[in-house]
Amino acid sequence: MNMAQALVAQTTGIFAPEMTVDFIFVVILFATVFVVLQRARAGLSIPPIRKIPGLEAIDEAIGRSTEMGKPVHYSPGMSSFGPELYAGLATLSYVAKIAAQYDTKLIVTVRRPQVHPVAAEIVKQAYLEAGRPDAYNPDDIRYVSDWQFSYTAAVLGIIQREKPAANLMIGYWMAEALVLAEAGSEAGCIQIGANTNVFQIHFFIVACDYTLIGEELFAASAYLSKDPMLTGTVVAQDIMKILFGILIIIGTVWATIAGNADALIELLSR
Amino acid sequence: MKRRLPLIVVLVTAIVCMALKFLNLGERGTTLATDLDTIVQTSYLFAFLFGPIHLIRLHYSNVQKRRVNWAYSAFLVGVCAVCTVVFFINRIEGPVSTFIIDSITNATDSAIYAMLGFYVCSAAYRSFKLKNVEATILLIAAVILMLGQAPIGDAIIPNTSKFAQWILDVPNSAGMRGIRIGASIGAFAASIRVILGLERSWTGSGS
Repeated sequence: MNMAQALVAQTTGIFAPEMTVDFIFVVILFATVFVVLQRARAGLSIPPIRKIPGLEAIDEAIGRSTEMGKPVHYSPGMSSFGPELYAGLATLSYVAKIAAQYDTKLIVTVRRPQVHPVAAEIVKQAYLEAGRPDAYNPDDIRYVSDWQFSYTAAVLGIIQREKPAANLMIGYWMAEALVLAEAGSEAGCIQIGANTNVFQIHFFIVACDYTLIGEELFAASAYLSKDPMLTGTVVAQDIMKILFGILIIIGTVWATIAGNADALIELLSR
Repeated sequence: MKRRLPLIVVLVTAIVCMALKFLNLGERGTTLATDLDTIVQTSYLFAFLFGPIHLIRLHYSNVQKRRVNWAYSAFLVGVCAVCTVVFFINRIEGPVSTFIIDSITNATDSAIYAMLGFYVCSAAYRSFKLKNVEATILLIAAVILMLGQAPIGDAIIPNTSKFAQWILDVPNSAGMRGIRIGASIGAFAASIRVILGLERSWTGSGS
């Protein structure tokens, strides 16, 4: 019995089956976040985040809407409460504040009824922070439908009727991704899309002016806020990515030499 | 407290959920997981009311103030009223309710979904223009894949289908897995931000 097997054998009583290695990875990520946050708190330098053109373009998109006197359409995606929605709502907070400062109408459409009051509160607070609480219109934060394609049809109608100059779709998208992005494109919107669904990202890439691919969506709040504490978690995320990259290289070399990497897969599945 | 309470609820729930997921808590753990699931479902049902109430309020106001396209709003309010009455009287499994869902809602849903085919064509037309190196690679890959899926592909150029399959299995899979790994770790880090209260815009507390 090697050391790893011995460690696993000792812990099967405490951990749920096949969860030991997952637990170790979670602990490593929490520890990395903790260390990076401590560095940020102490004012020590942390690596900067690379430039993300899609996020840089948000100001430009809202500015364009202001110049054209047209509204901005924003949607935090199709998912219910989860990482993608939280990322979408964090970006909404930023977008709403800029829209309030520029005095530009912001239309927010949400699919999930439980998301509506949260989105309304975020936009209201952003208008308050921008010093323009009078400009906040609760009717612009719209719940349209819980049904996927009813939502799509409703947003298509909003884009056709109200002709926004910017269409921001930041969240998790499914089959409606291309329909909405094409409708925005036909309406002449500057479009920024973000998605983690690998089966739909390519639709955003072809139909939107800027696309946030996968993890870029989750870096949005840290990137836009420029808060070192939030940036620190993105750095920790990159450190984890390097760790997984090393594991992939070990697995590839192992499989090349031994003919398969079953032993490594078995170890990681404990 | 209005802002702090949700953060405390999230932190406690996250700790409980992680303990249920990772630790071997036996029968008690399973019972607690089921109870938690019931709590989540129940709270969702309460929250579900917010959406329709807002929807009706907005469209009723459109009708009252005779705003542009108010007729659509009137239609929506009417449909909501009819459906509510029908679903209460006829129940969700009744013949009238089934007709509304199967023959009206599902049919219009499918029609919107079917529009995707036309949008794929217009998006493909735009993206396949030889604008830059990436668009050229996309065009070449798409042509090979389309030829590879049709029997005529192998007849024109032998082994096209094998090359198309290689594109799907190797570069395409590698790219997709890269995005998935990055997105999964990103989701993980985003969850930690929410759990630790670093990311709190969702509470409406601003930046």
